[in-house]
Amino acid sequence: MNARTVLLTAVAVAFVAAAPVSGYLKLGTLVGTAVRGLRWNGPVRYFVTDRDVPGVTAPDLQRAVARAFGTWGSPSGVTVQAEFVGFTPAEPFASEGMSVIGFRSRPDLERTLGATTFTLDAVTGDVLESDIFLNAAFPWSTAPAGEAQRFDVESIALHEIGHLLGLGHSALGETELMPGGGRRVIAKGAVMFPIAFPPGNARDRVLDPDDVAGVSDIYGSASRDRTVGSISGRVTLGGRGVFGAHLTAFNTTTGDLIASFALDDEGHFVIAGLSAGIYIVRAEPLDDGDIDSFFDTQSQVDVGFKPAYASRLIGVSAGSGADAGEIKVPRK
Amino acid sequence: MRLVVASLALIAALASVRAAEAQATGRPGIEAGFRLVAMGPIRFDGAPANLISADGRPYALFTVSNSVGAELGIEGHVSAPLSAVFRAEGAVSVAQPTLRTRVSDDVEGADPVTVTDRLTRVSLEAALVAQVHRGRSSAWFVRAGGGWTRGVTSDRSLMAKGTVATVGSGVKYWVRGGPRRRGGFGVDAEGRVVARWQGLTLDGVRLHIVPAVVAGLFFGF
Repeated sequence: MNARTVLLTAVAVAFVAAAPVSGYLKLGTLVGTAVRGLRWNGPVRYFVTDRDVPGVTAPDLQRAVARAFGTWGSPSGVTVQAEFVGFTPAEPFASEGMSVIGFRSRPDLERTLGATTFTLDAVTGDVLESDIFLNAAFPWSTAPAGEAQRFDVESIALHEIGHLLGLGHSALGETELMPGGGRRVIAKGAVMFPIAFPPGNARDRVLDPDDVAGVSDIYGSASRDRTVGSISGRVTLGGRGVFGAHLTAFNTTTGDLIASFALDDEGHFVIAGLSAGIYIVRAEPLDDGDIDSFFDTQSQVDVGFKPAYASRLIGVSAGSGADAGEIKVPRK
Repeated sequence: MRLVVASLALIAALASVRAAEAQATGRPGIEAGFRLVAMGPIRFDGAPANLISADGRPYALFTVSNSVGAELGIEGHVSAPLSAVFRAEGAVSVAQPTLRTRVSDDVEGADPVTVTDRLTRVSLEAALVAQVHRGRSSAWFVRAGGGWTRGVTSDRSLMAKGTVATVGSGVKYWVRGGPRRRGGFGVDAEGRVVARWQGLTLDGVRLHIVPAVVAGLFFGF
């Protein structure tokens, strides 16, 4: 790291069973007084570590990573370019000027399957380097349908590459506390949900509508923007705006679930990337896990309320926004 | 909506003037009028609001139950004779049905709620009407038609087009005049089956079939 760079650590951790949740938040960095969203303006040129781990060879890892990049670039109207440069003996997180994806053994991170870091230009906010590590302390597999007792490399790579592309965590999921600490995922509706499915599960190789909405927001074309719409509104509790309320838009025809947050003190929210249709909007507190998985520690996220719904059905047409009005949530 | 009502009022006014001076005999002429159309209500399934659990089973965030409330619309129509039996009819109708969704079983205990939106639906239709039995002052008829429908949400944020097809049967009764004469006026009543393809709905099913009861006034020219 030199004077022009800043290391943006860790935003992107896939927890085995630890902290939780967020709808699609985007990663960004402060450039001067403005927050600049994290975005790659050209192809992601990445290296893969040349070391095998039990069950996964370096070429296996490289192919899984290539498929995961391909998956993020697959939604219509989304342009994600990635280029595999070669294998490297370098370690992820070494800050050597290359974007490196590979295994490292970190048994001390007993609930962390993987993480993503960035080296950014502190002046421009441009991404100089981004590394992803998968924790070799866990058992891994690249078997086509997953392998019992082993975590699926492609699923976790897909999640981490989502961070590398600029996406934060999604809160579309439900968890429960485990007796020994941490959380277990009960169900989820986004690859970018912070807690992984248990070993043997390869369901997270496919993007959910919430993931597609997120990547489209950063890498979508103007033509795609004309095919989707948005819902905006405000969440209030006793007349005051609710910062950090989690909003979910449900398409009554397709069943798609796409989420966002109220991101100011007035409780205003925007849920973008919605296909045309009629929606139900639900507001809930971010109480299904650690808030700092989604917001910085200074944020005053209000979780003292019960979930509630917008009072009417909301029609969304392509290329325009609809107003959900005020969603009044009751105190818990 | 105001324009349609005004047009219908104008048609009715013109018709009453012409009806008074009509009563000419010979082939039936052009007819115009308006009808009240009562439909529904209907209930239908919606897409489930499901997350996916680790074993691949759906996990409901909440459940929904959808319906379209009973609707009362107005239909203006004009028809012209093609033969002694058949008439060609053009019709425009306007209705404001209420889409209604009951949301319940919230996974985190949100109170059940019914969310609604009132649509405005306009349909244009062409139909063929066959008078299958004609008496002195009444006629039984069958009617089949099809056309185009357009629905708009209450805040006009979403518009969707679709197609519509109808079949029906009913009776016309001439208060003055008769089925074999030009002019006159009367009332008609009809039972219909309405099939809508696409348009604004709350489910993934593209075809909805709804029964309807229709009654109105007509005027001959």
